[in-house]
Order: sequence, then structure tokens, then C-alpha cells
Amino acid sequence: MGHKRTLLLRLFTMLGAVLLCYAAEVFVCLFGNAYQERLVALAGLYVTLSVSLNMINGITGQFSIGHAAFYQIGAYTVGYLSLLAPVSMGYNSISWLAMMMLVAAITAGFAGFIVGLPSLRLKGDYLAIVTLGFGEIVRILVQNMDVVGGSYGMNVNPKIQHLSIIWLLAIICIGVFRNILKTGKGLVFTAVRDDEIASASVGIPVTKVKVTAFVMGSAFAGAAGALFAHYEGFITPGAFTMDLSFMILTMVMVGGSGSITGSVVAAISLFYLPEWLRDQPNITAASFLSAIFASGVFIFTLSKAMDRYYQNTFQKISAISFAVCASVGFKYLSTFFLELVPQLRDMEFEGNQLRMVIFAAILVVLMLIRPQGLLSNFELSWKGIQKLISKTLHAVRRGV
Amino acid sequence: MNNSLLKVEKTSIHFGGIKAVQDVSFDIKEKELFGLIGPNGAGKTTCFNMITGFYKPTHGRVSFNGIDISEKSMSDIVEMGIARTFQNIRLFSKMTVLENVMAAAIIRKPIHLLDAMLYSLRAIEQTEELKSRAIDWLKVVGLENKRHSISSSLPYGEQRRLEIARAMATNPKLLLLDEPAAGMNPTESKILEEVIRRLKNDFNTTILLIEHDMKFVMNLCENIVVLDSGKKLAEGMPEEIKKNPKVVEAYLGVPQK
Amino acid sequence: MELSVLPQQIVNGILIGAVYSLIALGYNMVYGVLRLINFAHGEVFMLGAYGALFTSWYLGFSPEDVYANPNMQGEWWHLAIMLLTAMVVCTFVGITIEFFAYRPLRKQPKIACLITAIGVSLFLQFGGALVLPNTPPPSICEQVNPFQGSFKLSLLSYNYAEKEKLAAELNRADDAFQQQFELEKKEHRVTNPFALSLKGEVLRKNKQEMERRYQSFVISEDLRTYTICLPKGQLVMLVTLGILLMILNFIVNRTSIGRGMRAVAEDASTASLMGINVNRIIVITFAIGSALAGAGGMMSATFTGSPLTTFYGLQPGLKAFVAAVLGGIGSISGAVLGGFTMGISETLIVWLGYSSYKDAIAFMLLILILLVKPNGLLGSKRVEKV
Repeated sequence: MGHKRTLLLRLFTMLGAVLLCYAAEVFVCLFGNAYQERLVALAGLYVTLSVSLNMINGITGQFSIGHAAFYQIGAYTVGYLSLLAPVSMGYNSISWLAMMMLVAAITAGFAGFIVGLPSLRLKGDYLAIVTLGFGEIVRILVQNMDVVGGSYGMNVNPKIQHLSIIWLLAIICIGVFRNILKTGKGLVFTAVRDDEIASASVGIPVTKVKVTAFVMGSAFAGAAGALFAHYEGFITPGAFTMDLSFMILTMVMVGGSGSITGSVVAAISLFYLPEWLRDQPNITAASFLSAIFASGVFIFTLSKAMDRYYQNTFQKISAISFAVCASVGFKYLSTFFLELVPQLRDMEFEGNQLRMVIFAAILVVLMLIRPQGLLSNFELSWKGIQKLISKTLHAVRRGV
Repeated sequence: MNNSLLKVEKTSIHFGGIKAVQDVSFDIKEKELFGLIGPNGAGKTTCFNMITGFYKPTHGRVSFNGIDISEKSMSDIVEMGIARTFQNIRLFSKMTVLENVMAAAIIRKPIHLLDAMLYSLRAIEQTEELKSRAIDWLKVVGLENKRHSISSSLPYGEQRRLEIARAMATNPKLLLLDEPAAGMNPTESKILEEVIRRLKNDFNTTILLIEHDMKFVMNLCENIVVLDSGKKLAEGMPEEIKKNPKVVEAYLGVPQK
Repeated sequence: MELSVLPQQIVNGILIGAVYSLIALGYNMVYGVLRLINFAHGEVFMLGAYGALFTSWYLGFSPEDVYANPNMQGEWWHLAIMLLTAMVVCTFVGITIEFFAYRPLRKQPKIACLITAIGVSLFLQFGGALVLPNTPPPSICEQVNPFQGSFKLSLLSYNYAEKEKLAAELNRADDAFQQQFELEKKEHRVTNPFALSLKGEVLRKNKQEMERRYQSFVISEDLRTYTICLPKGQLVMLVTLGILLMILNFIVNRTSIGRGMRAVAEDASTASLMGINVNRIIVITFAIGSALAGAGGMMSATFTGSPLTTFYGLQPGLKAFVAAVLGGIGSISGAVLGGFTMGISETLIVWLGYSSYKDAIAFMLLILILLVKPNGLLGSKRVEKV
């Protein structure tokens, strides 16, 4: 009886996810322009990328900073296949996309296996630099392959723009990793992160676990790459540079390495931040600097407040709102003082230029103030939400 | 007649020029409480590392249940039935007490990755079973009330016991304890002694332990090997060891003439 | 893949390698005391180059000055001032980075430091692009460099006597042939040199033979005595590297600071128990490493005259890191060895005709080294303890 209910519930959840994605697509297509649609699509891809990197970096603790390579491998696999089968062989677009995603995931997963197997003998910073190097190697190799257009890039036909599929992939990615973490299997990965020697001493096959994490993470990145290639219809090696890897890394770190919820939230917000900046009028050096300081103040006050007042929801909410107020106040105050310096007042930047600077600043400030990331290990779950709702209801009732 | 469970035969370990263990052999019989003692730097922990596969012996061989394990990987050796604790506790510090034990129990109750990915009914069941097994082990060491606290927040003695529970969760035939009573107060070490006896009697576990606390060892162990600067100095029952002049010399130095 | 340019390529490799070694030294020293890969080190190098650029402008070699007076010529002390400023600037940058970015994280896990290092590196690259001149990329004008031109070096002397002898023989044969040709033109009205009499035919063949011999001699002699071009500026660079290395060697091995560094590298906590001020040693290490990177930046920018952007340090930084790993991270002689190996292997790749893979090869080398000999060529092995 219980089993039937669980299965039925699960079926509904899946249907719900599909419907939600479809509804989102319809909504965006109806009310948004092409640019906004593209942003929503790319945000979905970034969610997949950062969640899959979190599996490797945060949950298994293997510091990889070449995630763009697997994304690129996925994209170029699809690009190459589209050369071989130019008319997508009469499949309808969704099944073609699904097939391509699978192929790209397998290829990227295999690449992850190739990188993972030998380099997982290395630890920490050495592994980081090898994955970084791997990313560069892949990019340079693709740049020199004339079949796929070298550094000029290539067209990927057909151009299939299904927003819902992109978000469905993101949801599947989140779901799969959440599932693993919910079962006892997830402990194997976190155990390897916490202490490799202790893990081996209780019989966890450390290398196998690490490679598994690598393969899963890179497979999802590859699938995302496939969708990217078909969505844009055009790919160049220039889209998969080190900066992209660092951006994904920042998303994972900001969200909290180990927290999938954090990765999702950080991916979306950090993806929209530069896009939002692009729309802004030119920013003066003074307001830019003050924004950096203010974000530092925000994270600092939030972490301090959270350390002291975390007993109940009310305290948490007030801590967050206090941090918001403090940072906004600090922003205006510091802008005022910085604008007294004429150079800072007159120097103007375009929002677009600031993108990577902001990422870098966030990364540094975050590490200095809250190295475990904003949400550290927190996960959003139905149970948590139910608890929260019942608690607030309770509090309200008591208050009344 | 007990037959031998672990056989260490003429093993040596060299790190470059340093000979940490030289030509050591001993034999542990089933259901035995075996002590490994010796002054600091005698090579006891190196011996442990060798048995558990962290180091490979330079010469000689280690066999468990008649199978040569000297070239096997750490996780394979655990799977065959040898578990250990560490001298300086190595818990999964960010996990809860329960999760620590569950992470160890999983090798006897593997969950398939695909099941876990799909959160299948089987995976849910297996996780529940894992949990109940882990709680059983926590009961043995008396930590079931603290199962939801983060392991690094436990007091020292409880961390030690948790480590034992974690090792036991892999269902070992042979348990290696590296200085389990180090830094414990008398009450804590009394509890520990009880726990170790229970492990031996109720769960048929063979135990090999390193210890500096002589009273603890002499009370507990049935057979003792003394190591000094990598070599075996003596072997025998506690009474014999106590009387052995070489052992006294190694611990207290040469008497002045 | 011409064999004759191989020596020149190796020389070029050594010259590039000198810059890599200077940067790699900083990586190695910092890794030695902090166990941290200072990702921002390449950016320190870049700032050194910019420091040198601004100094050269201040010394009167800005583009406008040079345009107004193209015949300006720098003196050696101009270069010395530029070198010193670059080193001082970088020392300050290094110390600042250490103080603000790494010191607060001393107690945090290494990964946090690594991420901070990446962040600092990105911040300097992209933040620098906002304030430093980079479009169009400025470069240090070559007038400031008094060491223009290059030495021509040939390993074997050219056999001029033989060449002249052959030339003379060729001339004689040619003369003889021309005489005969003129003669026959007059006597038999022959216009075609291929329709001569038997004697003329012999002379023509003889002349052709002489011509062939002369040509082949010249070619083989050119090959044999290939001259290697040694730019004077880069020779100065090598000499400076040598001097800096000697100073470094002195500091590390002969002074109390150096002893402190070696102690901290061995075991920081024990060193602090022995009364060594670990933080002070770390700051000094950062200062020295950054100064070396600054020297590298100044010399690379001055002697190769390459245009500067804020990404100037990215590739050299990464390659020098590879060099550091190659030589054995934490080892000073390893850094130098690795730097030269890296430079030479890079030019060899270009020589083999794979110049577009030049940047990839560094990483391939890195992965190979880490898998085969993770401690590098000269690094010491650490036994892991339980």
C-alpha cells in the first residue's frame, strides 16, 4: 500500500516537473522576447553545470576547475554528429534532442573517466591544476580541428530551441543528485570528501567513488553542452574558456559546496547578475567599489548573525533582513564618501566590463568571510518547507 | 583448537634508508585478544598500516584466513574482514554520529548506484536497514542517544568509541585498535574495556590492539608481542612479558651497573 | 622542421626559459612555505611589466616623447631603474595580496586559499583592465634598451679559402667557356650555346660542373656553420637572472632569514615553536618571490617589446607553474631547471611545426609529469602518515 502511494506520488512529481517546464516555456514564449527567452534557457544550462560540478567539487570533494571542458565535449560531439547526419534523419525534434543528449553525456562521461582515472591519484591543488590544464588542452585541440571549424566555430543543425527540455535536464540533474544524497549511497561520496584514508579504512573504494562522481558530473555537463549546441545553433571554442569554468566554480562556491539548493540559487542569481548589469547605465567607480564593500558587509553580517541567532525561523528571517538593511545602508554611505574623490566619481565603467571583476570579487570576499558558502550544507526539502509552514502557522496562532 | 586467523611472516618495511619494521612475524588465532606493545617509534602503527594495506611490505607476507593480503588494496582488505581504528581519531567530522556508522555499514549492504539515482523502493529499504544496523552498533558502544550530533562535537572518549562502532559496522573478523585508551580518564577506559570484551565475547571478533597503558593491556590481552625499533623483542602471555628482562630494558633503559 | 634552425630554437627556448624560471621561483618559494599555489603570481608578473612600462614613460620614453624625438637612446641605468621599480612594485603587490587575501585564511582548508588565489588572479586581470592602459596594448618602446642588435655566433668557422678557391675555379671555367663561345660565334655563327663544337661542349660541361660544386659547397658550408642569433638584450637578461639567482642563493642558504624559510618549509608549526616568526618569514618569501616575478615581467616586456595587456601574465604564469611542478615544487634549483626545460620544449614544439599546440603542450607535460613523477624532477618525496 505504502509502496503504491510512493510510486504514484513519484509519477505525479515527474509529470508535474514536465508540465511545469512546458508551462514555463509557453509563458516565456508568450510574454517574453527572444532575448529574455535565451536568458531563461542559458540559466537552465548554468543550473545543470553548477549542480553537476557540485557533485564533483562539493559533495565528493574533488577540486575540479575544468568543468567547461566537459560542456565543450558535449557540445562538439553533437556538432560533429550533426555534420554526419545533417537532416536529423527524420526524427522529431524532442526525440532527436534526447538522443543527442544521451550521446553527448556518454562521450563527456567517458572523457570524465579518462581524466578522473589517472588524475585522482592527485590531491587538492594538484588535481585542480590538472583539470584546469585538461580544459585548456581540450579547447586548444578543438581549435586546431578543421573538421569542426577550428577556432572559427561551426554551425549545428538543426537549431532546436526547446526551453522546456533545458530546464527538464536541470531538474533531472538536481533530482538525481538529491536522490543519491538521500539514500545511504550519498554517504559514500561525502565520506570520501571528509577523509579519504578513513573512508578506505571502512572499505569504501575511494578511487572508484571519485571516478564515479567525475563521470556523473561530466556526463551531465556533456548533456548540457548538447542542449547548448542545439539551442544556439553555433558553437566556437571561444565559448568554453577558463573563464566559464571559473564562473561555474564561483556559482558552486557561493551557493555552498555540498548544497545543491545553494548551487541552483547561486547559478541563477550569478547568471542574471551580469545580464542585469548590462542593462544598467554606466556605473561609476565609486558606486562599483561601494557595491563590492556592501556585498562584503552583507555576507559578513549574515554569517555573524547566523552564527549567533539561528534557533528559530523568526530569528533567521530577522538576521537575513538585518543583513540586507545593513548592506544597503552601507552601500549608500560608502557611495557618498567615495564620490568625494573626483577620480572615482568621474570614472565610468560599462556594466559588461565589470562581469568578471564582480565574480572575482565575490569569490575572494566570500572565501574570506564565509568559506563554506552562503548555504553551506543546507538543502531545501518538502519536509523542511512543511516544517517551516507548520511552525509559522503555529507561531501565528500563538501570536493571535 | 583455534586455527590462526592472521599470519604475519617475516615482514619488513623500509622507507628509503629507514627500516621501520624488520623481520617481524606473529600469529593471531581466532577469538584472541592480542596486544602489540613497544616504546614510541617501535613500528607498531606501521605494522597496522601494513596489515590494513596502507603500506605494502617491502619483504615478507601477511596472510588472512590463509589468503595472502600483502598486495591487496585497503578496501579489499576491509571487505575480507579486517577493520581498524586510528591513533589520532579519523572520523568523518562533518557527518552525524549515525551517518559515520552508516557510511561504514554500507560495504556489507551495498546500494546500487542506479537504485540510489532513481531513489527506488529498494534503495529506500536498504537505507532504512542500514540505519537500523548502524543504530544497533551505536547501542553496543553506548552512543545511540547521540546519533544526531555532529561527530566532531563529541567528547574525546566518545569519539574513540564511535570509531570502534564504525569499524565494527564493517562486520570484521579481526579488529585492529590503535591506542584505543590513549588520553582517556579511568572511567572512560573502564567503559572501553567493557566494550572491547563485549566485542570479543558477543560478536566473536578477534582483536589486535596497540596500547601504551600497561594495566589496560595486561588486564585485557591473552597474548602480547613486544616491538622495539622495528624488531620483535618478545612474545607471550602477559605474565611472561612482565618478567622478560629485555622488555623491561626496552621500556626502562639499561640498569646502571 | 629544418634541422638547421634547431640550435637557434634551443637558444630561443633558453631565453624564454629564463623568464619562466624567474616566475617559477616565486611559485616554488611560496609553495615551500605556505603549501599554496599562488595563482595570482602570473598577475604579479603582469604588474611588474606595467610597472616597468610606467617607469619608462616617466624616464622620458613615452610614445609621445619617442615620436617627437625618434633618435633617443636609453642608457643601462634606465634599465636598472626600470628593473628596480618593477621589483619594488611587485614586492608591494605581493605583500598586499598576502596580507589581505591569504593571511586571514591561514587556518582554513587549503582549498579555500586556492579559490581565493583564483579570485585574486581574476580580480587583477579584469579589474586591472578597467584602470590600466590596455587598448591599444602599449609596449615598452625599444629605444630605452641600449642593448640593441644581436651577436652572431657560429660554432664552426666558415671555410672562406675553399670557397674562394672554388669561386676562382668557377670563374676560370666560365671565362674559358665564354672565350670559346665568342670564338665560335664569330667563326661559325653559332648562337645557341648548346650547339658548340666538341671542345666548346667540354668547356660548357666543365663550367656547369664547377657551378654545381660551388653551389653545393656553399649550401653545405652554410649548414655546417649555421650562425645562431643571440639578441644582446636577452643576453643581459640571462646575466641578470644569474645575478638574481646568486643573490637568492645567498639569502636562502647564508642568512638567518633563509634559514627561517627553510625551517618553515620543513614544518611551519615546529618552526614557530622554535621561535621563528612564521608570518614574517611568509611575508618575506612573498616579497622575494614577487620581486623575482617583477624582474621577469620587466625583462620580458623590455627585451621582447611585446604589447602589454592585463592578461600578459596569464600564459607565462600558467607555464611557469608547470615549470615549477616539472622541476619539483618547493625546490629552488628545480624551478630554474623546470623553467629552462619548459622554454626549450615549447620552442621545440614550434620547431616541429605544431605551433598552434604551443599552449596545450605545457599542460600535457604537466599531466605527464604528475602521473609519472608527481614530485617533479628535483622535488623530495613526502611519506603520508596516518
